[in-house]
Amino acid sequence: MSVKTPTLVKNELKMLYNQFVRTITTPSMLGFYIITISGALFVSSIASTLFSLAPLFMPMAGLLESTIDQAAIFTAIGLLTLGSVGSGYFGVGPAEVLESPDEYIMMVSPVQPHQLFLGRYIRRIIRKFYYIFLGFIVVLPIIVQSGLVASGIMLAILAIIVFLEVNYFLGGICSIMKNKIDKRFKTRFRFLAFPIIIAAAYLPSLPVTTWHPIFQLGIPANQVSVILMQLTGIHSPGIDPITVFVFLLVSYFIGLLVLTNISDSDYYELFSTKMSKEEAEGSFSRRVRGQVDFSESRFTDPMIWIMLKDFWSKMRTPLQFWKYLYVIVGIALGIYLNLFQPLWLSPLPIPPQYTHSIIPAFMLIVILLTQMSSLTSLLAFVEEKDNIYLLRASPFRSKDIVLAKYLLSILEIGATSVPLYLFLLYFFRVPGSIYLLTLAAPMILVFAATGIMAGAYVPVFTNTPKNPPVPLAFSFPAINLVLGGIILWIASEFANSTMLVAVLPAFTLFTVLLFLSLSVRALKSYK
Amino acid sequence: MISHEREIINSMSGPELIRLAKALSVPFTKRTIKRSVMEQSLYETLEKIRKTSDNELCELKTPAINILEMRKDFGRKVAVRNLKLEVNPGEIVGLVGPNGAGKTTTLRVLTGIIKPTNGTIIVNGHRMDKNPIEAKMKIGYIPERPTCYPSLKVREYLTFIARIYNVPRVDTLLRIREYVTRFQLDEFLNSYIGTLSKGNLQRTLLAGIFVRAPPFILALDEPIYGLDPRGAWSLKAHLKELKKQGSAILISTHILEVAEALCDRFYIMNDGDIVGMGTLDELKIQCPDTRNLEEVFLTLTGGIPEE
Repeated sequence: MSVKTPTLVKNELKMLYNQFVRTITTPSMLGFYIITISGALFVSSIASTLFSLAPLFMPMAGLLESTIDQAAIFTAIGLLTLGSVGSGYFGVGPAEVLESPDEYIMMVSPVQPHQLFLGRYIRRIIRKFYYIFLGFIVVLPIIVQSGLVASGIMLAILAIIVFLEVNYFLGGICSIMKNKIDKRFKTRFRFLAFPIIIAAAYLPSLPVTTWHPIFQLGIPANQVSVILMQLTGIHSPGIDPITVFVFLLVSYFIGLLVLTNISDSDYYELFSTKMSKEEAEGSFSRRVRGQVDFSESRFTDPMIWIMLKDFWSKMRTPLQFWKYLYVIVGIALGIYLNLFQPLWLSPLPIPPQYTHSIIPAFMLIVILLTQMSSLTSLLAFVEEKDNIYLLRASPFRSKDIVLAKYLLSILEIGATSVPLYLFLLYFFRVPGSIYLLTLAAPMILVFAATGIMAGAYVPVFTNTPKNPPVPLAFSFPAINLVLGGIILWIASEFANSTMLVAVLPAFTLFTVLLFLSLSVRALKSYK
Repeated sequence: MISHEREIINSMSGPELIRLAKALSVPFTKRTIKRSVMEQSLYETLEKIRKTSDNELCELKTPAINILEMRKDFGRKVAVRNLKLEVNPGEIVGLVGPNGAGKTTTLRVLTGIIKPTNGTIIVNGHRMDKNPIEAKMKIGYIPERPTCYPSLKVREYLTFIARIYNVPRVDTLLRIREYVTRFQLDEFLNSYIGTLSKGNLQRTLLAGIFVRAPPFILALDEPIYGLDPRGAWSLKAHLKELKKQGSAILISTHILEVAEALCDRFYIMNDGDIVGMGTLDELKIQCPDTRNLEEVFLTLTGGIPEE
């Protein structure tokens, strides 16, 4: 009587196919795709120059082997499983793959819960492989330039992906276990289940067990450790990585089947609860949660108002508190390292022959770090979700909205970048690095503007503004890395001229104004 | 029924007729064929199939919806308290109440999205906790806030729903055509759902619940929401028609005029409790000096405000 699983899978594949067709038949989306791929290849070819500095990193393998023993590697990778099991225990498990329309369409239809999970999961894994494929194209020039074995890299990537999926299954299984335990038992002893599960998940990765080959080959975290050690040559155990990968695949299918089989309608309830409580999840205190009535603010400027709204709305998400904590602790640690240069954490030794050739590598890392931090700006509009139309309909000028988003993004990017720059400054002792680092300022200004522009275009391309289209999200780093390259070129070209103080600010100003005006234009063209 | 299907065949587009011919395994060997000949041929084949097959409409069990002593808690908050509710075949029942009264929670429990803390839900004789697939096979749900898969086209969505509910291919094609015409979705059949307006999305969801075989058990949460006057009128007329055919319909709505015009009986909820139930006449007796459903509602949920 119940529907067959292939019908659901076919529908999932149909949705994926339709998304792809929509992307390539929309000229603007196609444009972003072209930017993504060409930009990524450009960046990849620049990054491949890092491999001319390979001798710099060569001693690191030996250094790692002499300082870290094999058991420590097993223990460290086991932490990932531990984290997944821990977070999975308190998470929503199989409900993670559901979408809001499922609540009203699939959950009420005569479909078994495990069929719904399986259909959704297959879509998730196909999407993942699509991203891996894109990623592989991006790193292809690096692989070619460095002479690395593509099959080895592919195996490492696949092993990591499969391992992370196994961890997802373990987390899902723990979530269902918690649900069952909470329903079955009401005594406080049920809380003991958590430490027992944690211990069971981590024990097979501890030195007391990892010396034994059965534990090395039978536990997913240890399997991936063995594969990585074999491929990198650090403590290589001398086992064929393909064989271990087959063991890992067996673990994957066991995990998938177990989670599928135990998925029942309880996870519908978990999903429903998650949907209704999405914004009220775990946090420490009222202020940390951002539950502050900012309507009492003395500011009257609409731009400041939007900034305040965004700041406190973000504070209501659990991650934001940790982000600021990282900024404070990171800056403190960075300052400490640079001032006191402790013996227990020494900087990377740079041989004299690489003193000058290391500079491009240093600047490339600055671009990459700034790019990483500037993701916040892409999300500035995306995080508004459907409220973006409400904001657009409010009596604010479009340029005030864009400017508010831009200014807050600069603050966020600046704050999260500073600890990274301090660590870079300490570990990567390049001559004149402190002066070179000043180029991060125009990069932050420009990258924030591109992020705002890309985010502002999301509702132009899609009717679901909370999901940025893939090419848009991918083209954002590509555009930034090209712009970062141009900033570096300007700096090196005018390094010996006073024109630098005119050309660099002019370029920065022009780019920022261009992207912000494009954002305003995007905002005005919302359907 | 057969003459009704003839009308549907006549309203089908060329590609739809070809799909139907394939589904009926009617061979067309000539390169060109007159539309009227094709329609006649399809109609005759369909007539033969209908005569040979068991054409009796299955009847719903009485009561079609039976909620027994249902309670739903969210943490310490009681959303619905000891609810007893019945909907019989051939009846439209209104579930009315202020915001937060527990109407949507009731419908979510009824449709199996969430489980009750206590109590039993029986749909067409099947317990939702013991036989959810059988219970869900008959029930159709329209949520308060319509939402659907944005990457599917309207036709794909309707076909997918038909497959989920094991609707035969021929019936799927006929019903899609029937309800697409009824809800004026013709021009959107090949549009992505993500590009539809709220009203058209609501029409698509409605067409989706009607691709199944009647009679229906329906749980409709604000079904008029987002529909234009013509769409609303069409839906109301269709619900009355379904009622005559023996469907059991439970409607949750704030629009009391709609409830009064459509429903045979009412359950009035306030703060998770049923504060009034019965036909409008019975409710008027329960609340003297009231003239219509609006006044009954206001009396039972906090009193009529002074002007």
